[in-house]
Amino acid sequence: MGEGFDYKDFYLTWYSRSKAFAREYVGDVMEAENIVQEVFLQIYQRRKSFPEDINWVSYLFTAIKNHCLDYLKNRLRRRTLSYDGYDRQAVDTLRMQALEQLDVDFPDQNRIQERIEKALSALPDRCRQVFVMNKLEGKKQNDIAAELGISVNTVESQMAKAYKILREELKDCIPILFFLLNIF
Amino acid sequence: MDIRVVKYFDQSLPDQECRELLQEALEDEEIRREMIACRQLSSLLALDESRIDRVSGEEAYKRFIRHRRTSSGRVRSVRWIGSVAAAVLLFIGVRALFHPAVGLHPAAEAEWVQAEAPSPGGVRDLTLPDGTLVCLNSGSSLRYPGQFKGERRVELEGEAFFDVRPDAAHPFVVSTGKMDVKVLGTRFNVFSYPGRDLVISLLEGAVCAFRPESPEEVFRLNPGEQLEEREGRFLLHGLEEDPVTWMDGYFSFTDRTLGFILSRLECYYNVRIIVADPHLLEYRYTGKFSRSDDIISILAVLKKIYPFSVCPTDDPDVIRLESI
Repeated sequence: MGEGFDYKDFYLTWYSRSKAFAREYVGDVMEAENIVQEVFLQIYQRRKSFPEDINWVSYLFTAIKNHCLDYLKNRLRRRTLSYDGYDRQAVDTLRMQALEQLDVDFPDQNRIQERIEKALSALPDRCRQVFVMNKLEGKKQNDIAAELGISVNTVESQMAKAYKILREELKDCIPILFFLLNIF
Repeated sequence: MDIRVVKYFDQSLPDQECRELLQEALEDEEIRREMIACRQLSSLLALDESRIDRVSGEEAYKRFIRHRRTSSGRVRSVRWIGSVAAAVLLFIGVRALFHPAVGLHPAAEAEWVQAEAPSPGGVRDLTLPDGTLVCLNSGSSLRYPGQFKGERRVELEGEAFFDVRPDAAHPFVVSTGKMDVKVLGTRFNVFSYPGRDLVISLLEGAVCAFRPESPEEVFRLNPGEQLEEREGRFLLHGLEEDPVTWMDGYFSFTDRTLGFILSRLECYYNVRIIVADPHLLEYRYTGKFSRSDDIISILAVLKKIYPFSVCPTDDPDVIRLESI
């Protein structure tokens, strides 16, 4: 571990974001915390045995990805058929494919931020406003419609537009996110 | 882009349409790509700086430090979640990490092997000699021969989920004392703690159950059905809730009486809970609890919904509930 590595700061900077990331894939907030805490503990225990210039962000997300994939595999093995007719197997299969194809060898924090901002700035104003409220502020589409005084249909079509543009944006201008290429 | 995908990721797509969309996604390349891209985009946006939450980070860091101090480096079953969420009944679980079954299959031939899951809180995965997968719930034990010959018979005390390796020539029988459950290859859960009503839940395939003393009187279960003992009689009905959430690390109760919930908790935590006022037993709750949480914190959550008081007794394994 380099002298410059401030473990606590690293933890506080990344904890909530990695948990939100893991939650996208395991679907359960407590399970996401469990995985993320486990990974932070591993990093803590092994931090001294790594080279000074290791990219901790990339390490963190690679470990989280692996833990999430293991968890999903386990869950899929146990639940081939759901009791209530809701196809959790399909949900988990899609989550697994999404995560498997995701390249988590993220560059340092500043460059991630730069890339997200650049992608978002490609969205038209209203579209970006709706997307940011939904994805970054965590508001439901219904509430966004009410808050902006527009119809839910409009919110949905703006979201569809945003997803479409971001797919393109990230494909073209973020080499690190080249996984998106694989799915076109 | 399919607008249903947008709704799906906003969790505003009705259940029926979700089912259809998921089915289509498995078959239709374009929809699948859209679903995958939306998932990936959502997860990447989680990395935006606006999502940094140092307050919850500080909270989690305290739990982390507490755990780090006590962790021997080998402990895998981690209790990360404190009593933070006590005010919320919807208390989704942390999975107790699965303990791989190590050294359970000595080369023993006809020897019987007994596997146990520690109580409270332990869950144990086993692979039987025939390849059948078993997940044992806490405090449960399974006896099985080191090598199966002919009929595959195992003895269960407690609760377990079985994923039976199909083998039509060698029926698989779970013996619980009250009932034998006979299968060819299937997935099912058996709840059979001593002194409790037996519950057999079938997720896939087919099983039949019969009393060892009257094998001609057979209950046949179809997927999604449950055979439940009530006051000595056996009733067959549809599954009302997921019977195997315990394997994913939580207990889930949907509109269940406190009496039912307490009787389950007694099994899982190996405690006795005495309820002074029978009216308390009629309170109904819906919620999820982490199996890694201790019994006192679970009761603390329950009593916030319908109040009662929790009184310790001289015996650490006996808890008394009283009405307020």
